[in-house]
Amino acid sequence: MWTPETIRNDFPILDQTVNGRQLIYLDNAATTQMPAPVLEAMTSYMLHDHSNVHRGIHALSERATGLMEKSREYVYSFLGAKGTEEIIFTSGATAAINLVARSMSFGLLEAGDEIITTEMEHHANLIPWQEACRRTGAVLHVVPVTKEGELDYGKLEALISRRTKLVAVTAVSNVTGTVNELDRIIRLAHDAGAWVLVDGSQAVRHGMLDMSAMDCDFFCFSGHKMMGPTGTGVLYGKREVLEQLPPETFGGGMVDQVFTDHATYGDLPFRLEAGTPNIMGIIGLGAAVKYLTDLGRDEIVNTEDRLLSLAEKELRARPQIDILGSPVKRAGCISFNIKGCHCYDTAKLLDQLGVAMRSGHHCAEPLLTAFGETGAVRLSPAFYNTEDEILEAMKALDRVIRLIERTVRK
Amino acid sequence: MTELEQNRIKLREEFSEFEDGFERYSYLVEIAGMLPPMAEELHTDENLVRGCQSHVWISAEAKDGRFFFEADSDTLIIKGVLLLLQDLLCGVPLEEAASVELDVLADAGLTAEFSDERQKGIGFVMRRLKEDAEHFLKLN
Repeated sequence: MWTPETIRNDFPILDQTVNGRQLIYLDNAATTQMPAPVLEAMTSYMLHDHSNVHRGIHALSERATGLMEKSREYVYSFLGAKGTEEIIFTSGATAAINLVARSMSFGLLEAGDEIITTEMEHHANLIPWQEACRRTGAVLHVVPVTKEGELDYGKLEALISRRTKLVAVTAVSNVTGTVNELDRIIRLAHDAGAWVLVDGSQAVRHGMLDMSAMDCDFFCFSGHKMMGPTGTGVLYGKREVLEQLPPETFGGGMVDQVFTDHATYGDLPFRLEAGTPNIMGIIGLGAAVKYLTDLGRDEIVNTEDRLLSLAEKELRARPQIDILGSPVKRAGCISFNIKGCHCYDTAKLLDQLGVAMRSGHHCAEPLLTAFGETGAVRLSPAFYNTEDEILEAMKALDRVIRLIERTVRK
Repeated sequence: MTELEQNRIKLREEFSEFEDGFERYSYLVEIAGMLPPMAEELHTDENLVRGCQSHVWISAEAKDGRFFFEADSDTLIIKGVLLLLQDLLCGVPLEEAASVELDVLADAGLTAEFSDERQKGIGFVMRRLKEDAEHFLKLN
């Protein structure tokens, strides 16, 4: 059994000083670090197997293809999908959502249809739907968020109708950490005959992943939030749903036969993966999935929940701190501001003390606006963080609070 | 030596004592409280400096051939930088304010601690001040 202390040997990047102080990395909701097995998988591929996939019949190409398809198998069993054809590799969650939105606007959406999304979405799960609706004349509805940071389920129920084609919702907010009631949302949507796309970016290390139990139609996530490299991601779709999606990007690798005036397209998943994929990244993503699986997903969830609870308790004990939202269940991250202080100042001062936290609107401007804020500081632990690090970060925060109070009092 | 050059030497001395980035930033936050308040009616779109991640407002004027400006920001660190710029520029002859390429971050030894984007934002502020001074000089 591992502990955050023992696991750190796998993450040499964490052992460094920044600005003259030991790094405390608490920006995992943006990007997690890669463990040695992920780096080794990618390095080994680059040193020995680098070539193109699915085309060549030479040894290197066959090895590269084998490694990439092995990654697809890891992801397929990680997600509890029904087959590897349900796993589409993308450059990230953003590209996955854009793929579905653009594809649906090629004939699956028409004027009068409706898409429902929510006020707590990352911009990547809002703007593609704005654009798809603008292009097709479909109507976009946005479910508001309560002051506690929960979805307004009453409003959602009122909005869903036979006109709803798809509900696009995040599993976990990337600002408040609110865990959404996906079962309820999926049931409501399916009762109305609508598809559901779940943005799993913030949930993917939190166990909410079993596609056969969840029954969503699409699920997507980015590799770089789950110990994989940037530029990788996955779109899962139920086979019968993916089969209805027309390709939206065209070129090599996705075709069956090509003539000068038209082409026929290949089978899933390749039909939706035009062009040379990020082979090295996908191999790294597969290694990351294997790494997380080997560590044990329950252990990861328990460790991260414990660290987040500690952070929340510590933040709540400080009267100078405003926390965004008070959801029933929080996972992955918590956002806050020092009263009367811009988040940039807080994060920049923390950075000078070696503590890495993200500040800004977190690509969720509508949610920040709903909270009456323009930005916030976000603390997001991963399983390799320790309780000591959380407490050290709080000491640094106290220094910043004292400094700000001294200035504001003047 | 010009008045502006003298001010720059003072600024370099002011920042020479600090041991690390946190001390330099802390100092910026502390002096932010000393930035004279800017009148609410001067917080206009016209006075907003474009290209800055945080909001920065600048309102410059010329008095007796010398350059002055008021400024404000929503972040304390940037307010501290604005106060340094006031120390450098307020009261110097227009010719000096219009002719010198300032680099307040380099003078304060802060270049390494500010991200490229922040440096660009502060660069926009310095350019705006220089343009204002040039404008006043032409009117004179």
